[in-house]
Amino acid sequence: MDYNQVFSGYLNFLSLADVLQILGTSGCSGLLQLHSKFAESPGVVYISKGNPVHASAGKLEGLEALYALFGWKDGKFEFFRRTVHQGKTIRKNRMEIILDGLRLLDDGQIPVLGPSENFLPHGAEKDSSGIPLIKGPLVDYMYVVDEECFENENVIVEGRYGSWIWVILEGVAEIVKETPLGPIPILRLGEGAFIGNLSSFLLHQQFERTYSAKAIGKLQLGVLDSQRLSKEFARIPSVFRGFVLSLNNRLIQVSDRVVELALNKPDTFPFCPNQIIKQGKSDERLYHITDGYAIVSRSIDQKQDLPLVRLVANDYFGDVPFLDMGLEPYGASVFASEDFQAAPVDIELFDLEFTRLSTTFRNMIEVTASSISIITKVACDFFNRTRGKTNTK
Amino acid sequence: MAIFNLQKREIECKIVYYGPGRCGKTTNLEYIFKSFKKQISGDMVSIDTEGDRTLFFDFLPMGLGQIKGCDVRMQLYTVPGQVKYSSTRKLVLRGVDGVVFVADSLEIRRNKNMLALKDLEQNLKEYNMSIFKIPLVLQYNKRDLAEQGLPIMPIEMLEHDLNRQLKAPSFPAVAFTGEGVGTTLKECLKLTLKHLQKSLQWGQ
Repeated sequence: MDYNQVFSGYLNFLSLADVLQILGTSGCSGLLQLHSKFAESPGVVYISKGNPVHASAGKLEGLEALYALFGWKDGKFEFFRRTVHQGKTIRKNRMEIILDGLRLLDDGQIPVLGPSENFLPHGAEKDSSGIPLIKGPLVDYMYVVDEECFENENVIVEGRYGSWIWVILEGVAEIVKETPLGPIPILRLGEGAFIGNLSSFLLHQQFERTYSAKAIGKLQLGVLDSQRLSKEFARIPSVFRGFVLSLNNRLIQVSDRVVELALNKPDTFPFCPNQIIKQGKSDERLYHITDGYAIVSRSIDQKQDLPLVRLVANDYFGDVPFLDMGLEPYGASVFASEDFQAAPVDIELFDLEFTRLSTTFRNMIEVTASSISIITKVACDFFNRTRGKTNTK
Repeated sequence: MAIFNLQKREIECKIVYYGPGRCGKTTNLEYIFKSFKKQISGDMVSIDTEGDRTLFFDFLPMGLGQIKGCDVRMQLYTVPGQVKYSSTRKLVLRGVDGVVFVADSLEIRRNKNMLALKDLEQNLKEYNMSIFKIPLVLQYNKRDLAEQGLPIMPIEMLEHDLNRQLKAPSFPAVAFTGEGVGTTLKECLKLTLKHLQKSLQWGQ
């Protein structure tokens, strides 16, 4: 805990303009950091006696960077009290910056940071194969009990049973769905990512693998201490455990959806007429479903929605500030059935539980969320491709 | 709602000039900035927004004295009229303490005035404020245009159009020459401070 962190909150509640005004009227000096799940590095504003003197955001510096930060409508801000020795690159009046920043935003000259067509979440990139690659954070070796090496062979095979979980130490693994038309690669995993599902900890039983993982070239894997992880999993409060499983369920569903779309199979989603979350609208709440069905779907264009995930009782939906799935509310809408019922969840509690998890567990959850985001994009690509075909017929 | 700055022992209030595009909000503020130089701290911020300009500066009203040992600082703003400037409008209107509605006396702007007033009501509503409760002053601007032979509405007509229900204090003005500008602002400051004292149950 940094005791100099004196002020923090969510940008969708208090925007950068508001934060700058508050810090300005109080004449604070220090560092304002903005964190967005859509940006690789935090944005920084140096403030001296209430006035912004320097800023940086990605590759941008100075006033240009500060203006760009007005487009960060979603995320967290933290203010650290300290003396600022930063050279002055911004000389404009504070209020002028605020009003001009908002004008540029309204004029559409500052891009709003959010999920876009080409958006890849933190740690994701595309390699030469064209299949998106997800890399995880640094590996916590405390949890690695053994190492294994694979070369151009399967680590796990879809449909077989097993509960081991590996972390990739070196190399790349391809995640493949097995279909009657042959295997469909949906994702590649790199260093720090995991092979195996979160549900493996649910009970001490063997689970059917929901995908195949194949080593591309040489793949060095660390076997994770599943007993230790299972114990940790059991200690998590049951509501949060339910959330983790709901997340895992989403991953399995979007992967299956890719297969459906690739094979041009009709979807089997229940009738859900009521839109409860509109894509792009910010709603900072998370809900727990108690009854009925809900469908998470992404709008492809103004006319078409692509249903992706079906949620049932005990699933969760809404905005998870500490995770990025690329789905609702920014990247997808949620539709509910007529008998649908849900209750809001205490997001602060979830946030706290998440920070309490061990690094390995947290990494696994984050990689799962990134995978959902990427596979959703793969599903949309498949949808666009098959739609393109039917259009030309 | 006014901001209390305990460090500086200041109460910061926000007064917003609202009205249809080109009605003279900016001219009002420019005139105030020019002629009350002594009471103004810092520069005037002027942002070019489409069809309008957004202005802002700090104004230290003289002769109002202190409230509970705190100086009063007024922030004067104009709001960009265009719909698309929602972020700016939101920032400006959030926590507004008093409004000056500037109406255009030109006959052809009759509808624009009424629409802008409706718009103000709607925007205030979004912040849980009522146009009937917020300190509000109306200004009928461009009274001089009659001399140039341009058709303007008589005051009675403007009152009927805009002020029948509101019954707010209203003043004719020629913002360009400064006529009525000071009176309008003064009345708005007075109402705003009164309202502030009342809502904080001071001075009882």
